[in-house]
Amino acid sequence: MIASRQATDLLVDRLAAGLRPVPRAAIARRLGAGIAGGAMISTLLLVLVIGARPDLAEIVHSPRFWGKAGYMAATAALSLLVASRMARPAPRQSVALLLPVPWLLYALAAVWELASTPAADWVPLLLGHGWQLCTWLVLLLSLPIYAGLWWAFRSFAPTRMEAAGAVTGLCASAIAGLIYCLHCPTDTAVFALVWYGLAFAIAALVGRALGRRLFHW
Amino acid sequence: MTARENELDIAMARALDGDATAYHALLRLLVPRLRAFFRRRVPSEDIAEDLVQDTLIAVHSKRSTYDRSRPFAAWLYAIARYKLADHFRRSGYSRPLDELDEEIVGGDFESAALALIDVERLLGGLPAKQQMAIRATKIEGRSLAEVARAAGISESDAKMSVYRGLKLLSARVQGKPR
Repeated sequence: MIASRQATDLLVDRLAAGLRPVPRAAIARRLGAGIAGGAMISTLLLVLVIGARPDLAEIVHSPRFWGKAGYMAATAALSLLVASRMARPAPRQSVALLLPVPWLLYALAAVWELASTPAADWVPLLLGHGWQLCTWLVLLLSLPIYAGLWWAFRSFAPTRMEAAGAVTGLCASAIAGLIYCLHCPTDTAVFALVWYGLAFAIAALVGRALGRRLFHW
Repeated sequence: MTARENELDIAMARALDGDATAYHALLRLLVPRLRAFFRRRVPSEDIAEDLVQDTLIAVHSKRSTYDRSRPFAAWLYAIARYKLADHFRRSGYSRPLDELDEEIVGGDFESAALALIDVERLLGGLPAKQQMAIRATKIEGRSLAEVARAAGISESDAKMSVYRGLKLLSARVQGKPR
């Protein structure tokens, strides 16, 4: 007992001697670094292997394209905010309830899209070009970003690990979705709502299942 | 917000800026608190001491997750609680973690943690013997006989010290001069 108390005192001395200053906003920096690294790999993967859409130069003038990109960006930003709170033990009041808001707003756009299209043409709205691949390519592109987030979380202290796993999964897939916008030839809201949404859901569920194992400290 | 709580917050903020002296003092302050926290929750003193060390290491390696705008005690005890839950999980403890959480959180863990700090501050002003007797029996939960033996005093002496000390404390809490 006395020996282990002495070990504690020794530990205190050693920890204090090894102190190095911590920059302010350390969590934001680390998250930023992890995401930047992952997103760079995903973007390279998209440009070099999957290929950017040929009409990219024209499409940047289309509000539909920006609606889709905005839906991804908003989901990514919100989930990143939630993830940054999950980085701390005993996180303050979470804003996790806001996470579905981009999806719901975008659902309004999808409803409007359906309403302004004859029912006979609804199927192409949903299936677009390449619905079979969309979800899976988004998930593939999310892997490097998820790895980056995991790397960042290794220096964090999440106490709700399943939630942390889920929200990082969502965040990685939303950023991957944003990158995939460079390729995806379909800009209809119905399509993006369903197939990107499916990717988000799978990523969040897988992340949740892995959370306890990956985010343990 | 008590003065003592503020001191911890300030010491930790200094530590984050690289002040090793403030950090050393802070860690030394944490040791008895963590010991009291774990001793009340695990059966063996050796395990408690291991958990104290684990928590200190986590405090060190995870210090970038401390938010300077929030109470240090809440952050510290969240880490301690995590280490405790992890210990129970590893040792195959059968009680569900949610229940454990509830027991420890006890409604408002943060205020309980701060209350503990208040107690420490009040205790600090007592004569050494009374302070020791109260700390050992009321905070660490040891028996009178054990405490008396460890301190080399009689059991009735230990009991008297606890009694006198508590009386003094209650007078202080009621606002009489320190």
